[in-house]
Amino acid sequence: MSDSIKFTRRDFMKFGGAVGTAAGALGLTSSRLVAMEQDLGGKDYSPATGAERQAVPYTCMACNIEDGGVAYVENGRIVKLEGNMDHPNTRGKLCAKGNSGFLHVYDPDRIMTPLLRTGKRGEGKWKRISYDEATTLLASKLREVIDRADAEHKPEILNEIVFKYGRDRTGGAVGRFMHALGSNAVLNHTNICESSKKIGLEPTWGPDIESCDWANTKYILNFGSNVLETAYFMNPNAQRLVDGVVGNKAKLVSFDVRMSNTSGFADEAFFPYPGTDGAIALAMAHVIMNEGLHDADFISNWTNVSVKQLIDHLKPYTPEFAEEESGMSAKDIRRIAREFATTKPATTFSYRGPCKHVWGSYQEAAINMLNVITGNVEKKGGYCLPRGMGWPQPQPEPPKGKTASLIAAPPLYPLASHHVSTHAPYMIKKGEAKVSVWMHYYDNPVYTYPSSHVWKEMLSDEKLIPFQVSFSPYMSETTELADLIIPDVTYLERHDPESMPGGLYPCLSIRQPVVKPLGGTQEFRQTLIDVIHKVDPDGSKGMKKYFAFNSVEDWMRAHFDAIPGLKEDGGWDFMKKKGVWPIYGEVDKVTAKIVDKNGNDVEPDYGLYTKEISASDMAGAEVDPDGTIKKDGQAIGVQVNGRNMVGFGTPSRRMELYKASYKKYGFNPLPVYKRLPSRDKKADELVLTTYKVNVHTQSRTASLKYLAELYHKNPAWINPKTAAARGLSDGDLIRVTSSLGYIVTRAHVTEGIHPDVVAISTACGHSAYGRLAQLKQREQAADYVQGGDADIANNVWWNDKGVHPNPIIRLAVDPIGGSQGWYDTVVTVSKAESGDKYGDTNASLEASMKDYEETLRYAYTGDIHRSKHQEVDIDWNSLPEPALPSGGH
Amino acid sequence: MPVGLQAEPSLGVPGKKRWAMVVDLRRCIGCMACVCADKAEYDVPLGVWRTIVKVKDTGHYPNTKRHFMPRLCNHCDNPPCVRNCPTEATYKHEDGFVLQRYERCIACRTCVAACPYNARHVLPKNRDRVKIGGVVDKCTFCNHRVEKGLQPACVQTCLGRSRIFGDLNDPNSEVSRLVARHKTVVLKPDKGTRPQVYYIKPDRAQTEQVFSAPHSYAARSDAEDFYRHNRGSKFFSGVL
Amino acid sequence: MFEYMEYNIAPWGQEIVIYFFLIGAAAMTFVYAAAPAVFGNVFGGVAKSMEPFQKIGLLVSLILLAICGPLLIMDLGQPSRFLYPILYFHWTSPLSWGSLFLPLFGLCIIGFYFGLVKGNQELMRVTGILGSLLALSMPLYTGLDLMVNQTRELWSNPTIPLLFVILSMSSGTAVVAVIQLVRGQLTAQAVEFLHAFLYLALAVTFALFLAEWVVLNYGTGEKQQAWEIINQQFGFKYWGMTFLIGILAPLVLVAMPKLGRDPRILTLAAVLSAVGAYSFREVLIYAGQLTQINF
Ligand SMILES: Nc1nc2c(c(=O)[nH]1)N[C@H]1C(S)=C(S)[C@@H](COP(=O)(O)OP(=O)(O)OC[C@H]3O[C@@H](n4cnc5c(=O)[nH]c(N)nc54)[C@H](O)[C@@H]3O)O[C@H]1N2
Ligand SMILES: Nc1nc2c(c(=O)[nH]1)N[C@H]1C(S)=C(S)[C@@H](COP(=O)(O)OP(=O)(O)OC[C@H]3O[C@@H](n4cnc5c(=O)[nH]c(N)nc54)[C@H](O)[C@@H]3O)O[C@H]1N2
Ligand code: SF4
Ligand code: SF4
Ligand code: SF4
Ligand code: SF4
Ligand code: SF4
Ligand SMILES: [Mo]
Repeated sequence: MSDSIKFTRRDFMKFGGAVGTAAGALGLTSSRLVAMEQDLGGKDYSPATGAERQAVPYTCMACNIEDGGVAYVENGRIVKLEGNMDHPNTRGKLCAKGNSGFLHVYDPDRIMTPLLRTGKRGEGKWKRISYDEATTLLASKLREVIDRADAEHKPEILNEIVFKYGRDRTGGAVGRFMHALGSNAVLNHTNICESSKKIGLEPTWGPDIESCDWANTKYILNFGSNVLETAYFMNPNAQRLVDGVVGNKAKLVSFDVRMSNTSGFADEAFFPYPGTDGAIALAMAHVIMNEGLHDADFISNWTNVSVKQLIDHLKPYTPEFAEEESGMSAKDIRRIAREFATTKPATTFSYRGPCKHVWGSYQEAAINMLNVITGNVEKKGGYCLPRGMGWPQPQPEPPKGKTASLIAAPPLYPLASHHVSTHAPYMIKKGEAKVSVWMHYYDNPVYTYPSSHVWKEMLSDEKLIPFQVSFSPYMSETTELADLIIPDVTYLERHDPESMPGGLYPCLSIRQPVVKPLGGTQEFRQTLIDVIHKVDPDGSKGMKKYFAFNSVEDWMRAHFDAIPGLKEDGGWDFMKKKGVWPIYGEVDKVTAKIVDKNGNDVEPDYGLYTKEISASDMAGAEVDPDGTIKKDGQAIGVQVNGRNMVGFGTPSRRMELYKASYKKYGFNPLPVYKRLPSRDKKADELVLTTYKVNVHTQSRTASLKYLAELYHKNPAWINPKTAAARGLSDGDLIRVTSSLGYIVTRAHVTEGIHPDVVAISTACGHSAYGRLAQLKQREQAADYVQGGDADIANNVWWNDKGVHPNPIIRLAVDPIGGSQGWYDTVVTVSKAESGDKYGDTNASLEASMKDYEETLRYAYTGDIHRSKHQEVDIDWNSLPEPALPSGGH
Repeated sequence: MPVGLQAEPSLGVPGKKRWAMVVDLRRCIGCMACVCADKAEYDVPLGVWRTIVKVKDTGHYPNTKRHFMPRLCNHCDNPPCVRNCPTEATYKHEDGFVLQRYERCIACRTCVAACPYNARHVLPKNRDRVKIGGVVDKCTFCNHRVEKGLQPACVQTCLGRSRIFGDLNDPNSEVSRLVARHKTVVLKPDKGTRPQVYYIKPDRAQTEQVFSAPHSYAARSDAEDFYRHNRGSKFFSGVL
Repeated sequence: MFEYMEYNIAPWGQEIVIYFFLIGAAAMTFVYAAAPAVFGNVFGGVAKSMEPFQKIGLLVSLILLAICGPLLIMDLGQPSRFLYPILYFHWTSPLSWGSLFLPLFGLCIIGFYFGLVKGNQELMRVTGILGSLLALSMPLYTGLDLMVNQTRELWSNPTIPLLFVILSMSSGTAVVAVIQLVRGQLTAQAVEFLHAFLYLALAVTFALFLAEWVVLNYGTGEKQQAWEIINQQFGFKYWGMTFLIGILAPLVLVAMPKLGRDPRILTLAAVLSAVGAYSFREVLIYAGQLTQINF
């Protein structure tokens, strides 16, 4: 910012209009010379009375980025949220959802008491019961299963206790609970989320995704991540991305099939054909390697491949080939590849766009490779490792269950370490797994899963799911189907330990009750304690000892009080006061960088993998011929040029571009491009894409009035040419038809989308989730909700709640990462037929069951897998047998 | 010298403050955090806004762009809304804020008609937390925060750090430096209102979008729903 | 994300249009009723022709005023604070002045009536002159209310107050003509008197209409936009109701020397001009607000 732009008084008058005399007095001597500027935050006052509002730190969970926040309380009510100035990655700022999150607490349709179903499942008839009655009932249902398992001496029966979560930020409480019960049947949602991103990446460098040094970079290639609206670490990333692009003059090149806010902001935006980012990335790598623009030292020292190997492997991926596949011109591919390789530092970022396709793992691996071959890994301004922090689990900790659960870890997906939860209803329907008690927590598959109607069908079936419990505080499409609801409290009323690699400064943070849970509601953590104490009242089942907490706060103390460094600062009490630890410094008022007391930048650590191993750690270690340093059979580092360094979180401690684990199952160990079936769609068909928007989170913010006011309907984006070819105009009622069925929605004709794509956002179109989400705000409130908010009852002016696309999205998973291919459904779009009403939805169960069989053919044992991987040099007749992971998941 | 103001324009007057905002349009990512922070800070009801961010797409596939234009009260140094107010319910503060005295306002909407930036609204009577209704309201530049040494709420949370706030009479403040170093524009300077929200580097599309009617069906149908909802209500006797 | 709008409503609706119209009619009705006392023998004593109208005119004026006051108060968001513009008088606000003058005007009507009943000439003269001035201030201030909006270009020109005064002359004439015709008291002298005023009013209105047309076509962007809005959204009201029916037709009628002095034709012309006076104001008030509705 210090390069002062020449300024003349004339210009100033011309553009500044009415500035007048102020200009004359401007001192332009030093950009660091700062006036007594206003404070950036950390306090708040009531506009009405001027009284200071009480500040309580917490961690945001309006989405899953887990930014640090401070809640302001006025007269016992949370009135305002703000970013925590002490949180080094949040830097005092919250996004739209974060700012609106307190509305969750005061949602008029929030469930305020446990409910027992009285009518038929899903009929909406409930009896209010107490938390005590509710936990007793759940405990008795669990105990029945446990007693049966014990009686029959079959520990596998314990896996009939199933726990499915969408978002688990309890810091291990869920696992502890299930393991204490002896069950391994814990299902997450990661395969509908981003799992193939991780599976494309983790075998190469260890857990989790990249953390880009946006603020210091000079060049960014963004593949299918909408970092200015969504993505992992939206808020911290977006802040630093703007710092980089505007402040540091970095170039942003963005790839998306439609104009997201990120692509609309980028210096250059490209619209590849869906699912072809991998081809583009490989072609760029081809250019970089063949033109000698690569970092040969980094490749030879820090990867498990050679330059020659890479050049050979990349031979078929010419820019011309990628142009053919993606539609991006070979000329542009060459140009961007050269720019990327020659501008330093540079980084890529990618999220769900490339990886949420069948074989998405390859696409992610190809993008990752661009950073590796250009030596941008862990550089200032480059592509850095995630920086998370852990906390100890309270002891004793229960061991995992004795037998692995089939639905929790489907054996046909051995590489999918984040599992394949989409398959559960199909497996259960086919009798492959039995369920006695199904619990769902922070999970709404009847809305958020592909072919969501299949989940509805399964969860409605009392034969398949005899007893079903929801912990949701809101009556979601899934919670509606429960037999028992034990409502959790909102994230502003409960305890959680947190750490997210949301930036380059690792830190811990907490959630704590900003206000006492409203109306006598009880936090989930307490419910878990109560249930275990009721399942095992005398401790004879050996479960109670794992939940020997006097209070949930004690449980928190057990996480934090013993952490070195934090302990000295005050442990849990420090966390309660500050919300985050460590505190790196403060946010500079002008640069927004983290600075110390003297105003000097607090630089994050770079080059983590080059950290030297101390002599004492080296004692007793051996160095393999390839340089891997091993101690007690464990790789602890790697020797490069005579230096002993910690390296990466892989077996070889190098970046494993060559993934032996892939090859074992007949997948290509190096990144490749596989042409998807959707690439061969018929000319009159389109590829359906769904996306998230900046002001909504998944299925759960449609009831927040500020966000619903900003965004409440989701017409289908369609290119003008595509629309014209179908005789459609902007706003027309249309049918979007896949092989599963159709939805009736409206067309939003826009230049900002690939002509072969139709895009529908996922945030709207609820059939449950309270009155506002369904635009029934004028109806009578149910007797179990908290009610209130005359604003919603009277002032909602919009009249369109959108149409949800998930029922027509086909199940199709990546055989490597196990990730749902959200963007692979082929559809036709046509004018609505007579009699069609906006919102009509029709999806076939049988067709979805067929999709399940079809997608299994891509799994490593399937015929399609084999025919698509002819190039992999293994003995196809002796692939490993599908096996459950031993000792749980 | 403008007449009918309770405080003289303070821009450039030594010893006085002139609070102002600079909106760096290069940095606005349309995240809408400002809109929500503002709604929360004041319990702003649905259907009225103290601040908004307009959105406009331009270009033809594949060369398209998206433009954002945050908008709020300009805290004009020569505010037309103030002079016409029959009760001095709206007044000019000596540091530049243009403020409302709810207890005086009769909701004659003269000030609404006078403001060329549509920065004012009538508060509906049905609200959630704050019970003040049936009077005119507007952005206050968060004077209750600013006077306590804080940034306005929308600035505080601005993800892109697109909104910058400070004293334009202080040559060392960031707003002064930004205004000095960049070409800035104010909205409708020809109206003589002397707006104190300065925009850095607006595209033509951005300045045009503030004048344009909704174009897409999605936006138009929302506008229609909005007018339908308000039709027949007290402050809306069928003009639209 | 779609284009996102802040949705605005035009702050002034039907109540304001009706109020502007009625207050103008009330004012001019009073002026007619007070004319014999105010003008007496000037202009050859034509004003005297209004003597039979005085009582009923005052009553009508008072009734109109009695409708106007509450109508305006009802239109406020805070009706109970209707005295605030006087209590917290703001001298640069036409509305403050208007709120002050309105009750004073009412007092004058009552005072004049009192004088009339009691035969107190002096009281009638004082309240008549004062009342007429205040009456003039009524349409004047409503016009100023618009004119002082420097930022609304359709309004921000000095012809608006003048126009509103002139328009109220038309509507006042209509009130007198209709009443006197019904009562069978539209004497030749009265016709002459009304004819002169109506002719003048229509001629000036016609001139102002043309001036407005030129200004809007040759004006700034906002003026041109106003012209577009007028033609698109208010085409019938502007060209049909205002121009053809409200200005041109009555003007032609009164311009014909014989016909124009036929009591019935004159009354018809006056009524038509009142229709025009209403719709002219309506179009101006609405269109003036709509130029900025999407801003
Ligand atoms: N505002 C908001 N932020 C969130 C969330 C939220 O719900 N709301 N959720 C959080 C979670 S759980 C997740 S997983 C992340 C998801 O974050 P993102 O991955 O950034 O967001 P998505 O909208 O899921 O998908 C990203 C983009 O991929 C594009 N796309 C589709 N197909 C292709 C393709 O073949 N190639 C390319 N290049 N692009 C393609 C879509 O148009 C879309 O814009 O966001 C997190 N942050
Ligand atoms: N079409 C389409 N579908 C998608 C996506 C997409 O891009 N397109 N994105 C996918 C992605 S990335 C993800 S991560 C998934 C997310 O999908 P899910 O994992 O189902 O998560 P959510 O929709 O965030 O919320 C689940 C439920 O949690 C409950 N809940 C809310 N607050 C609380 C609370 O405080 N406590 C408790 N106990 N429960 C609460 C509510 O019932 C809510 O419905 O959606 C996926 N679905
Ligand atoms: S991105 Fe927004 S909603 Fe998500 S954690 Fe951060 S502030 Fe909260
Ligand atoms: S923007 Fe409008 S409301 Fe704000 S000070 Fe200027 S004229 Fe008044
Ligand atoms: S609405 Fe209120 S603030 Fe506006 S002019 Fe009337 S009295 Fe003044
Ligand atoms: S300055 Fe304050 S009142 Fe004005 S828009 Fe920003 S947050 Fe709202
Ligand atoms: S918070 Fe800042 S970046 Fe976000 S929309 Fe508002 S002005 Fe733009
Ligand atoms: Mo996700």
